[in-house]
Amino acid sequence: MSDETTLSEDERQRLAAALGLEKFARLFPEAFDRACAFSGTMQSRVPEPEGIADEPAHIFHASREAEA
Amino acid sequence: MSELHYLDLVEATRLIRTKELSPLTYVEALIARIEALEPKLNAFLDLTAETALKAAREAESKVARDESMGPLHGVPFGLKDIIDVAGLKTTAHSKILADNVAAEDAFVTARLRSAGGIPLGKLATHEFALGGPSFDLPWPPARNPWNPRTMPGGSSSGAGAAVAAGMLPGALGSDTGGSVRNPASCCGIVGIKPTYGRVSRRGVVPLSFALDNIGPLTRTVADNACLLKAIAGHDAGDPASARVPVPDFAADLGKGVKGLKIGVIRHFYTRDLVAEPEMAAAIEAALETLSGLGAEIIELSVEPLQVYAGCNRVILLAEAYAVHRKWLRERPEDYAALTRERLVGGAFIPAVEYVQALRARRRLAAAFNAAIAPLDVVVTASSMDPPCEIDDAEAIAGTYARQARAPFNLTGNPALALPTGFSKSGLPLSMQIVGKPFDETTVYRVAHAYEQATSWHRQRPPLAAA
Repeated sequence: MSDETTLSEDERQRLAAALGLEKFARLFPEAFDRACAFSGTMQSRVPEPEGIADEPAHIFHASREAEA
Repeated sequence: MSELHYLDLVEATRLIRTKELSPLTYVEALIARIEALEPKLNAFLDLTAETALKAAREAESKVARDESMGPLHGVPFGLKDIIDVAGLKTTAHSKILADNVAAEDAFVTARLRSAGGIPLGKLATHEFALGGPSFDLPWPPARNPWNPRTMPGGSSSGAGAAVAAGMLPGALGSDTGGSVRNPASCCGIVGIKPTYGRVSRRGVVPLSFALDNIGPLTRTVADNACLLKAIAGHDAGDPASARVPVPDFAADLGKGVKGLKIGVIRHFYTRDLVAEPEMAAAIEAALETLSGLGAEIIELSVEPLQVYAGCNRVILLAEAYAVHRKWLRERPEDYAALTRERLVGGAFIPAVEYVQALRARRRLAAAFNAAIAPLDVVVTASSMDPPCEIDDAEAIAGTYARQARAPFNLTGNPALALPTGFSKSGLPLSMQIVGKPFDETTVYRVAHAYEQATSWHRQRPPLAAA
């Protein structure tokens, strides 16, 4: 996971309150910050959809064609 | 039969059927092996010796009476401790579920029992199938039989260690981003993530609904095909379970690879990430072996590894957070540090990013399957490095990014890891063989041909009893 620490004390407290994670952020502030940074890195790697109608498979099956 | 504990699973079933091996003698030999090595390897959270011995006696009586026997009659198996066994605790190796007793067998447990298998215990896992080897939990982490100072991979860590060490002929693990294939790679054994939907997850502690799979770990490819056959099949109790026929996965094991087209995704381990030279060289040598057996090797280029990995991680973290939010809010101190930090990452993923990852997933899976349509299977790396020291936190953290397993949880394709040799320091090297959806049979065919042309699966860890 990324070690980037990106949150100020105020930012962390506001974010933790919004998420209901006040206890977590109070006990483990560094883990909270690192997880936030790592999550952002992963999100940045998700490609944008190519078309407006690109739709997820709601119950994902690797291949409907293989189904009997 | 000088080393009963290293009998292959298929051979054990044959010997039991022909009355050359007593199920009771076999179970006793494995229990003795476990008791001798467990202090060093920590593979088991719960060894159910008494109930296994009772079941072995019953199995032996059936053999004596020539009663009909299932395909796994009298053969012990182990389960990663996120898989339910009625009446036993399913702890997920976590303080959070330390008192969680399962009311019923998981679908896969029931399947193995009905095939005649004997549950011999619950196996160590990285906490909730996501953490890493942790020293701040109620149970110690499993260790690698090839060198107990190194990690056995995970999250199905106990399954990898137990099978490689000859404590069990086979075990079941789970795989959400590579957790069957990683211990298989680290411990020099065979592990498959079947096609998504092939095996029911009912009765298994979830990590990520969209990515979770159950798969077997064994010492040989034939054993693996045998175990998968026993657990595969539709289950109306798992909403992702596919209604597909279950073939004899071992049907093509003797057919070789002559004339097969095998793609190789080199950019995963030479450009997107750069594998340890020994790992890359072993994969190239394996490709030469397959080529020498008559396969045509074809270079294949797909999306960069990081794109698949990013989508996998966003989906995994968002769904895992949905499972764990209440505990992370109320009991964060009850998780291991590594698990806690990983799980809370899901809190920061907005709904829109989760949906975009799901949209990307469908497109990436379709593109991948179109790219491999002219091929029979694809080869690429599993791990980028041999297993690292178990207490090297920085190296452990790095192993989760330095792998090429997560793409196939995203696309859903079957993917098998198997040994390709050993590093200079004596640690296992590996590769992956990836197939078309629901075509595990061809994956096993290619893996078996390679296995039989080499001797890696006959190497044993240099273990002495503790």
